[in-house]
Amino acid sequence: MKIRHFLVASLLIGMGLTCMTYSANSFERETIMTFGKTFFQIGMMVICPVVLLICLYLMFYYKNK
Amino acid sequence: MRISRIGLKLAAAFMILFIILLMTLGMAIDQLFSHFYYAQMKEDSQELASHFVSMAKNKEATSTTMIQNFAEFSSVKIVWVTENGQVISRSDKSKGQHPFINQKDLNHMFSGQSIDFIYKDTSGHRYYVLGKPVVKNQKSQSALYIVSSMNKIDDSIRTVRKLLLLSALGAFLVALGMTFIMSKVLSHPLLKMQKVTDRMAKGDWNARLNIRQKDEMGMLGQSINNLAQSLQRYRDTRQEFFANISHELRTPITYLEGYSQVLTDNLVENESEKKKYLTIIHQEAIRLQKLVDDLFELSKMEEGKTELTIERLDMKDIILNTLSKVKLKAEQKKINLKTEIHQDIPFILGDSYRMEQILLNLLENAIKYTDQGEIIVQLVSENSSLVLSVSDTGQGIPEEELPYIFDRFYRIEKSRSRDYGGTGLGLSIVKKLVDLQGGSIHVESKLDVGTTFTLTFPQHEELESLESSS
Repeated sequence: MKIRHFLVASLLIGMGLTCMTYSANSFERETIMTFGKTFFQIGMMVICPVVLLICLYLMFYYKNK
Repeated sequence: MRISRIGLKLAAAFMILFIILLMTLGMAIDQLFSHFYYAQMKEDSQELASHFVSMAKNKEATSTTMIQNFAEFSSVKIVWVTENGQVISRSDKSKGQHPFINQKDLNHMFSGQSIDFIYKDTSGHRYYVLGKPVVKNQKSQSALYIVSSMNKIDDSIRTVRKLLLLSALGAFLVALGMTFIMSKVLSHPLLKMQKVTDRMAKGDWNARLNIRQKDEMGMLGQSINNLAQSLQRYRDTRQEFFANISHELRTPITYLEGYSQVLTDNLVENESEKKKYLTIIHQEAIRLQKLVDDLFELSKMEEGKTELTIERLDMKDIILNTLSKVKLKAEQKKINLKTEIHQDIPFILGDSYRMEQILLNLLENAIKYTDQGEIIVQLVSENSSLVLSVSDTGQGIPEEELPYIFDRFYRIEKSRSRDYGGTGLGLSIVKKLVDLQGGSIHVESKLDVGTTFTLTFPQHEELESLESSS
């Protein structure tokens, strides 16, 4: 897996998160702060399970090693 | 960017699954919102209708004004009708007809029941219409139609749908990004295997896979490495085999060519020299014949074309018979031949001719490489197996050479073949024959002490039961 592959994937994920943040903020007052706050919350919802899965994988990997 | 096909298939499968889930979830959320709004509106209208009915029951002049004001305040339209559909009062100022009023609904209401439906006007606007009878003294006096516009709800639902679509697009893009990484990670070992196997197909047998996974992918990688190792070994032994065979054939042919040339050119000085050369030619011809016979036999065994005549064997008879054949050779070298055979030796299944060939080969080797001392043939029965061993007090084999002694043309020292003769195929044939008969062979040796070949043959279950019954 090369850096450009990660960049493409990150771009897609970023675009997706922006779409979801915009959608979630549509009934709120449009300020950068509220947008950023919602973006961070949605981003955490995506990142937390991924980090958890990576931790579990590493735990099992080193346990079996 | 090169998209691997397996990665593409994986990504496509994930995305199709995700789209199906997303569509189902979107549909459910859309229905949830629509039903929630309609239920809320129905509940509000019912509550309003109860108030209007209470006001209408008074039938005072002020009631009509109150209903109209209240209707205007609540953003609904009120149509107050009699049993035959004649309008008593209405909240809107227009004098237009009310197409949603029909006799069937009126009959329902005047029988004491409420009605509700959604009405769509000619301009496409939707209205929620609720009809309620005005009951006084347990008799329906008149009826009220409460008409609520659904424009606001429809607008809200449309906005929610647009936002849901935007969220779905966002989720799709996030899933696409993650699937991209996942498909790359999952297909990476497969692509690595494909590259390495391609290199192997082009003849690079040193190529190896470095896959540390312990799952099926790791096992597949290990199998490919094992296969490459086997094929590499096969190629090496094949090359070695051809080199050996040409060398082994060349030596007697050179003797034959040289001595026959001497005889043809009549370069011999006397009859005894002539006889000596003829003897050498004869011996080399016999050696050549033996080499060809051994090679033929070995190739037949490797191709699985050797046919065995499997029968019940009494190993005691075979040992005694073989010993009688080599007795003379052993006596010539003053080697003592000993046997240690246990009393209750069971029968085994095998080919008597091949078994004798195995034993003869081992004994001839033992006599060949033993200058003094003894050769012991031992036969014992151990744990449903028959163990036959041939021990000598000969030169022995260096420990590092032991794993290779069953290889074709392998010789411990090249000089030994000149001193003792032989084709270098004997032990290879022995191993093949033992394997073919379901046995195993093991060797132990110490330099200048001796060598012991141990052969183990399983005792067949059927034979065991036959023997126990007899």
